[in-house]
Amino acid sequence: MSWLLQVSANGTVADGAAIDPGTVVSAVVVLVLAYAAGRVLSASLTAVADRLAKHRFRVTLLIPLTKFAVYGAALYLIVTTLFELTSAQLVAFSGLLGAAIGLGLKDLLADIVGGLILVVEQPYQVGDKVAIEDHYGEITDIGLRSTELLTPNDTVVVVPNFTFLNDAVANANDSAAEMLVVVEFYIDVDADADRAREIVEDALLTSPYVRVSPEHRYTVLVGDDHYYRTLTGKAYVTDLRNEYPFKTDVTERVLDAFAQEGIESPKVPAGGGQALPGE
Amino acid sequence: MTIPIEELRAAGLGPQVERLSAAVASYLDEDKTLDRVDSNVAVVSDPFGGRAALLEYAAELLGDRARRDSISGIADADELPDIEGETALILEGCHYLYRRDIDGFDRLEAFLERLAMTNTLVVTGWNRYSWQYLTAVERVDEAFPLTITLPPLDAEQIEAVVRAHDDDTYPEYVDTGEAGRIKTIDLVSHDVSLPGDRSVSVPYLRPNVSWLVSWAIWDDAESIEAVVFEKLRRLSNGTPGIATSLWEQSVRDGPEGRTIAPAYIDDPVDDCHRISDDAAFLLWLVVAMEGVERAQLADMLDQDAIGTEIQTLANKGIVRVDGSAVELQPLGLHPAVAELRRRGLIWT
Repeated sequence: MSWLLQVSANGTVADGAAIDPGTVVSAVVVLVLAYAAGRVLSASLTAVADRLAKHRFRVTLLIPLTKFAVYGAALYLIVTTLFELTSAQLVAFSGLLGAAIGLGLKDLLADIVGGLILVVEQPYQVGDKVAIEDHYGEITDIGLRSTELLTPNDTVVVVPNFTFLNDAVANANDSAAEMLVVVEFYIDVDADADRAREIVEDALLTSPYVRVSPEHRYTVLVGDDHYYRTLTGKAYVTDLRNEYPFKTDVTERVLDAFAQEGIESPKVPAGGGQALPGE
Repeated sequence: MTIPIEELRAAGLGPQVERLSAAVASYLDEDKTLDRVDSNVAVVSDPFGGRAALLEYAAELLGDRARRDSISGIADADELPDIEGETALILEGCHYLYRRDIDGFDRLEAFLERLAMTNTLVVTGWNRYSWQYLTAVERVDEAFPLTITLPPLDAEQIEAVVRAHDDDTYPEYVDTGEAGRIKTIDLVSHDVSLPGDRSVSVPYLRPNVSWLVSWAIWDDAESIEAVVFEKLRRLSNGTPGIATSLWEQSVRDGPEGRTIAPAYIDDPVDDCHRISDDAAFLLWLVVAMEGVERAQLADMLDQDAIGTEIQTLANKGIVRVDGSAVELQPLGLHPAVAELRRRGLIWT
């Protein structure tokens, strides 16, 4: 803190930097402008990305980079131009920063470091569907300190970037528009599993939201148990935002077809039996 | 609208015509009659892309030995065209052999099964977008050793088609000093192959050189023609049926009798942005099948009421309602395809 103590009565620092109310106000103005510029650029890039639909990830990867570049430039401007810190003052400032971290800002710094690693490694991008800790949803923003994701229930979850350093992150689409979606059905052991499998396969392939190609394969798995059989349909959707419309479309049409064909749901024996997954 | 084969050949589709000729000649050679390898032919094109002309040509080559049939709408699974007992069959409208619904592939699968068990030469016509979809989900391409895909035409080829197609007095070119709406720079993409059978699409800007050159020599009479046909190509995306339709419309609606000028050629179709998911899927069905009954569209959309979606697309000039059928408008094709591609509903 030595350089701060060198501020003279007229508000100047003995060796280089001039700390006066005007400088502080200028620094605040720069920070506010940087924040506003970051928001505007982020919103603009998001608007461009939305217009590109399935190719939007080519643009969304620029959003955190842009924000970090703007904030970095603002910090550089404040330190070098407004405060004009000398090397000795920078060292002193580092000491001050170290003390601040020790006093309780270490989490904030960890979050910012986590944010920087996010920008470099890009384990997920804005628009990806990820599961972090107990939360699953679409990434809507990657900031300096935290990442925001929107859950299927329209709840915004703010996850500190530090979480990324310690916990596993599951990315469902890895920055591609297409995403594998799994739809499960349970039928009685006496039901015609072959016919049921055909119905599920047709429902997957004829959905408006499906995408099939050599890189985007589909499958229907049949599982057997004492009291029920499972049919697990897996197919890619054209856009990860269609995950739930796809599940709904396939489920509705499959259940209608099952009803028409007399394919029944499992009957759990009286007095117990194994519960279905999810019950 | 059927474009005579001479026009397509003159327009530069000679290689496609020759491949079809060779397949027919090979089949008619007695020594190869029992060789089924080349006995199934698929002619694939965009709607209005000249597919009917190639099938017409195949019928001419085969004469009495061929029976012609056309599937004009989606029908039940048990209604299949007869193949057995025929020497050759020319079958248009094979994109009606399926419905995009549960059990909707039964008819197509039965047809492909018959196809695999016969020595009959079967020349089939397919819509490009149905073909792409069915290749992905039903591997329909494996049943057709010879697939002839009609490519888009360039401006000179469009000119050849138009000149051969227009029987009336050839219109006079008028210099109005305006070109109408046209892009001078295109955003195009180039596929770059990567190891492991993967490819990446690299977008880049491409200036429209012929257009810029034609502007530079605007005073020359030929340059007006160049601009006219370049504009026809761009608005039709090189699809011959759309280009001739646009030509006829522009000449007919020109302000001074049978005249044509770049400014007279206009695309009245709005873009397809901001349509609902249901309208987009309905559009895919109409583009891929070229005309579908309303009731069948409602079945495939799994909805009772689809009037709003049809009205939205009709108001934009993309589709038209003809009785109970919803059909694609020629000038609606490429805006529709652009939107479907943007949404990922067209998979290539």
